Amino acid sequence: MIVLAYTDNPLAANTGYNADFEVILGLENEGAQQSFKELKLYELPTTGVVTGKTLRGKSFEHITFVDTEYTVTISADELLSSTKRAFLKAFWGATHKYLVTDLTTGDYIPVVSGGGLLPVEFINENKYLQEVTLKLVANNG
Amino acid sequence: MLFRQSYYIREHGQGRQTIQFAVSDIYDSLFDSEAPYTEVDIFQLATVKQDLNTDDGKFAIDELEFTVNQAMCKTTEQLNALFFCLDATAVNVNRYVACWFADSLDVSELVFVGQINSNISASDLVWHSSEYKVNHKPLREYKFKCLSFDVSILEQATLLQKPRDLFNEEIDSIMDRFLTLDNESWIKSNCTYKPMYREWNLASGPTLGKYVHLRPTISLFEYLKKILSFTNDLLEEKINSILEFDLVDSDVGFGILPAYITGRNTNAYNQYMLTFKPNQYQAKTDRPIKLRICSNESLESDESNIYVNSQMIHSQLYDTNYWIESGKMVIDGLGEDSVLIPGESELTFLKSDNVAKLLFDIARALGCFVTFQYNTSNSIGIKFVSRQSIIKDELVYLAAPESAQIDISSNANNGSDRYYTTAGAFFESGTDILIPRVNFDGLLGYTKVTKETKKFKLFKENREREEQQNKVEFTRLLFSLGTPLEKLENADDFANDVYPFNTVIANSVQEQFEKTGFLHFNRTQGSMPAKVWGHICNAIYVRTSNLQGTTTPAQDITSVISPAMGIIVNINGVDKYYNRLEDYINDIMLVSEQYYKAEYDITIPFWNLFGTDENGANKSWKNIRVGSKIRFTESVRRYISSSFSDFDVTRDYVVVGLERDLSKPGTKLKLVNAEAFAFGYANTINPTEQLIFSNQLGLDDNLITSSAPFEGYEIAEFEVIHLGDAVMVGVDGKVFKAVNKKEHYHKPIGIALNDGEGGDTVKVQFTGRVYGLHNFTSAGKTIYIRANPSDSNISENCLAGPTADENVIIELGQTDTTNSFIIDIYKLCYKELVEL
Repeated sequence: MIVLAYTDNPLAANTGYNADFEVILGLENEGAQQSFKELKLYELPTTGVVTGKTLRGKSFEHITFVDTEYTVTISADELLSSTKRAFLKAFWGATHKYLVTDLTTGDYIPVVSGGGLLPVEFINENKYLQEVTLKLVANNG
Repeated sequence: MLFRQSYYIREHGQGRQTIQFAVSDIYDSLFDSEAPYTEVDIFQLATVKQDLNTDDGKFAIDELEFTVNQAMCKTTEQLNALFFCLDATAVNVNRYVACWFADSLDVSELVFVGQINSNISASDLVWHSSEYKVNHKPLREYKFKCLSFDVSILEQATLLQKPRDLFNEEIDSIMDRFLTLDNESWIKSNCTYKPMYREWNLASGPTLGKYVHLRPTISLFEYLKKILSFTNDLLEEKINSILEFDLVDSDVGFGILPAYITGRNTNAYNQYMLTFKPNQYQAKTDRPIKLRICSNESLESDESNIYVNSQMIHSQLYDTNYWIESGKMVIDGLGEDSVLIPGESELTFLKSDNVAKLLFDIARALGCFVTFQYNTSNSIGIKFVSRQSIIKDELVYLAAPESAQIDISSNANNGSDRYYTTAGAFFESGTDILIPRVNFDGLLGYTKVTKETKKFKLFKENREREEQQNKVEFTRLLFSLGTPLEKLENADDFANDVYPFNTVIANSVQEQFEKTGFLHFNRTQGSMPAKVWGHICNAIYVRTSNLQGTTTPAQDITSVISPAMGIIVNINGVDKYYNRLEDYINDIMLVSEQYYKAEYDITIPFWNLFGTDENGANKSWKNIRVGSKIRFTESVRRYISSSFSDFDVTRDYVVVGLERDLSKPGTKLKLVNAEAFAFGYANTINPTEQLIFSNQLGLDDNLITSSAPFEGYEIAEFEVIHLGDAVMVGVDGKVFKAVNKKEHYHKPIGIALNDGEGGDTVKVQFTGRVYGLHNFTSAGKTIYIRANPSDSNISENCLAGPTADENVIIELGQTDTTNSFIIDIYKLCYKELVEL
């Protein structure tokens, strides 16, 4: 189980997960969260590198950042729910996006989506069978 | 308010490199680890650059560039940080920034400190508004440029113009602070007369032997120290700066030969007055003095501070002719003395609008660089660094260049800028002779009459010609060499006697040491000299022990202030002599231009791979700086005497441009041949070598081919020219043997330095001292062009009257020995005998 959340204004850093999102949002923030029984959840590091070869023939590779990329696949079964489909559309267009992978002690992890078209695969080209695979990146600083 | 940002990047094989960035409105808080701050991550740092300015010979202002994408600013703190930076667009708001290559805030880890420039650019990313709405609500990407304020902040310290503080109130300028009651004692002790020449101790005249010439001079070091202390006060009032600038002991990098007197004459009208003939005023060739800008305590016996005429600070600051009014010094001189001669203000330090420009103008005139070093976070030492000293002694070794481009061209730029000097507003530097003109009106008193000297006109004409012909732009230097002399007028017995410009003489033994009641001489008026009319003279002076040295030193005088007559300098291992400052500076610039043509641009995709030996020891980004020296050895093959030979050629390069990428590991270097900076103190000077820095246009016979201005001209058809002939240029641009006929409307241009016939090229010396080509009956004779087809056209005999072959008088110059003369050309026509 994971939770996706979005807000108009950012949450404080290291905000712990709370099932009652209204408590998290407070009075002057708007947003929503939704739990999903993910089909797949991969958590892998992703890096930015600068590579090249010196005039003396040595290769180099500078790592400019190491982030965590979460690959989340939400099944078509689950997205038969129009509420969840609507939530995902709102999540995709939201300014501040969060992912919770540990609903017991975890925090709202701020993530970025990379933008573009909502990554939906229509199974058997059936518009009612929408499987979504999100690639969400969390900065590690 | 203080914002900080910290990030690190993993440099291949070198671990993490932390980069810290901070922005604050309080400079000191940047370096205060206890100061409360807000952590943000919106600053996208681009590069930090440092260049050696190749044109002016100074450090350019360091630059750090960063961007902020407003769309990234999601939190209140991030938006606050952005708009805090944007406040820098207001000229009275300061946003200080600093960048460290470390976790700590230590000054030694700084790569940049400065402030955000008020010129900020931005591009709109999106407008969050409906069509036609005025409130377009843009989101922007802002581009900021930060400039090192170690230089830029000094531009706010204006010398004359009253600056405004943060509340837009006028505050005192530097000169306002200088001329205060509090500073009066400093002025009296520092801007007063200094002994200049000691008169010979005449056995027959017990009193005469104790008098000295004196001159109001000031140590440049003491002056700049004072100015910087006022700068600190001004900046504190203006922008709440707590920076403390101070002057660090500096080496100028060249030595000088002081002027001295080889003989003297006494004046019948004034027993206290010492005069001498022009050729008795020479450079002391066995007394090389290293020029420095430092405290007197730091000086060795063969070193001297630079002294300048105190009028360089303020045109009337040469005497005690001021009074205090409302706590300020009012400088007036006495009556007519307060009138500033037109053009003279251009000669003073006040021409530099602010302290930054003053420092660079001084550095340029001395062929130095101005450097800034952080002693602590708020203490900045300013140092003049000679060209040789700009290069660090230690070599730096490169591990991993990614690309390197070399651009080789040794062509000097013919249309380049050049420098020149004049000693005053209407007399030349070097060894010009001024004939003072003073009008006397019974009611109005004396008034100064300004008239350009012949030499001044000649040099000006030469510059104008070069400007037109070669598209050269001339810039005047702040200083000059060799104080001019003033000639006694209306004193028949002493018509050829001179004394150093702006010199005063003690009127009695007591006055000599109490420094009161001095007399300036501009010319003799009856039995007494006329009173002071001090003109501004920008000559360089040095302090040295008594130069005459042949007799018992005068009482209490252990040192004298003497004009610098010549420069001695070691250039690339060879000692060289100059008798005009601009020759030295132009040589530096010419060499720089040539070597800058051979540029080596190297990109190193690392920050830290700069070692201190060939094993890469002590690798650090700190090892590479502007001025660092890098050595390369190449194997080359040369074609010599019909065969090829292999050689290993080792060249040292110096870093003149340094750019660090702050977004990823990377360092870009611009290198030039280190020989461009191989100007330093002379190693030795042979005391027996008879350099003659004569009191004239100042070109000694040894230097005549190296520093005398000359050009090659094609000889006109059918003409025959002999070495030593005076020549003219015809309308076709070709030269012919000069004749004194009116129809040749051109003046002669100079003296031929070789034989030749029509079609040949003859080298023509058009100014300076012509040595060894002629024989004259005596020194001090005016010489003329005379028609003489079969022999030399130079004669001591003036044309008595117009004839068919000769109908104008052309003065060619004056002899200074029996085999040399100084070119000083004038053409006079009959009838009106009007000077053309």
